[in-house]
Amino acid sequence: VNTLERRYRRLVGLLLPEPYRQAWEDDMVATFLDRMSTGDPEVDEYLEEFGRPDADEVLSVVALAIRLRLAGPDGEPRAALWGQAVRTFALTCLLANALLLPLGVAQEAWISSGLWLPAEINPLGIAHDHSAWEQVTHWVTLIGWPVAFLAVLFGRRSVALLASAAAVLPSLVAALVLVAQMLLDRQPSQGTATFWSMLIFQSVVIVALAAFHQTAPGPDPAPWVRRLAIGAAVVPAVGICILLQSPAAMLVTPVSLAAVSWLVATFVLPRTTLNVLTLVLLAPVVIVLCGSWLVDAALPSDRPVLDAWTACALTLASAARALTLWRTSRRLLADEATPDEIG
Amino acid sequence: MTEQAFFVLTALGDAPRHGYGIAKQVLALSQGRVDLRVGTLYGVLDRLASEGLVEIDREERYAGRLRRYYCLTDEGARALAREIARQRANARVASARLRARRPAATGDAS
Repeated sequence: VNTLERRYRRLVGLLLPEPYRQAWEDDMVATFLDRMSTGDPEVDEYLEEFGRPDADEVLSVVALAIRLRLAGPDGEPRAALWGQAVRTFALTCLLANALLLPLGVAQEAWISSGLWLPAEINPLGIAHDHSAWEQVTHWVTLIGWPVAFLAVLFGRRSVALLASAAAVLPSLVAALVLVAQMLLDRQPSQGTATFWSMLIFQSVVIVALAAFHQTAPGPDPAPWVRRLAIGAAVVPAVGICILLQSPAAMLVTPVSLAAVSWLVATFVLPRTTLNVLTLVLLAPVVIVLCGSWLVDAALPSDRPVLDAWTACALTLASAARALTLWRTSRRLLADEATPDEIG
Repeated sequence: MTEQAFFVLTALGDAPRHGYGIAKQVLALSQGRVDLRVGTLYGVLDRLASEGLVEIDREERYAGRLRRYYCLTDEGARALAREIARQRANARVASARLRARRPAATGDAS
């Protein structure tokens, strides 16, 4: 076995499931080595010792691994279950991000309508506070997510990928600038914990879109459009509540709304393996967002302590609930692996 | 049927071939457009095998390694024939439209 073969086998061994490897690995390796062969003994000898699979070969195995491990309904049952759970996770996260648009629109409409605002908020100040570039990136982010959500629903995978990438790009650029500042000026990062956790969360959602591959069926759009409509009817009230800085705004924020929805879902949704797996996948998102809110709310001393307590309570409640769900998911998966022969 | 699956079935249309042989044939048949990497090729092959359209013909030892040859099943040949008929019908309709093309100003509103 030469180095090139060893490297390719390591790639395949790392990514593909065991039963698939048993059936196909040797033949894949033979085909790969044939492909790499140039016919010139000297070059071939060099490649066998120093060659490695190029990026396209690696990507093709990654794509195959995603198709096998996050399978469509025709795949291996456990892989099909995980595939469905990751697709539901991705859609739920896209929906949550998409709802930031009606929230932003409601706030803009309230400000431009000239209705009552707290004394410390100057509508002209809000309107002129941001540069044109900031305004553009703000709206690209707000519009990108609903476009990505609808594109996934209606089977336009590449549009979804482009729209979500565009939506996360401004935050990514801002993050790179912050890191560069930190490295050059040796100053601590200016970004809030919520900024960083949102960036990680949104990047994870983009990666999760890979679960919508060629052999996975598109979702049924009807229930998701209904959820979008309900969300779009509820969140404007939250947006205005935040704007008015009412005491309730300390408690009702996008993060608290997401956390409470998740907590309610953990109690209300039927305990199917799919539901439990999806909720388990969503748990780290909820915990990290609540945790970041807690860090941001607890650190500045001039903030009212009310939202720090809320964030703390939600973080702990989510973590405790996630632990229970994690145990339930392991039990359900074990039950599925050893089905009751009589039942 | 995806374009990749169509070309893999076509590559096996006349004779059984091993993995690399299929990839080379697909590249030639598609005039360089479809270059199947190994992961992609086996993704297509295993799907076609699970649908009963291709099967393993034989294994042969070559340069110290086993090469597996794949062939079209009868069902695979029928599926390819159906796809050819579909593409031919599409091409016929499109060609007829193109032959009947008139300048834009005289086009039918319907």
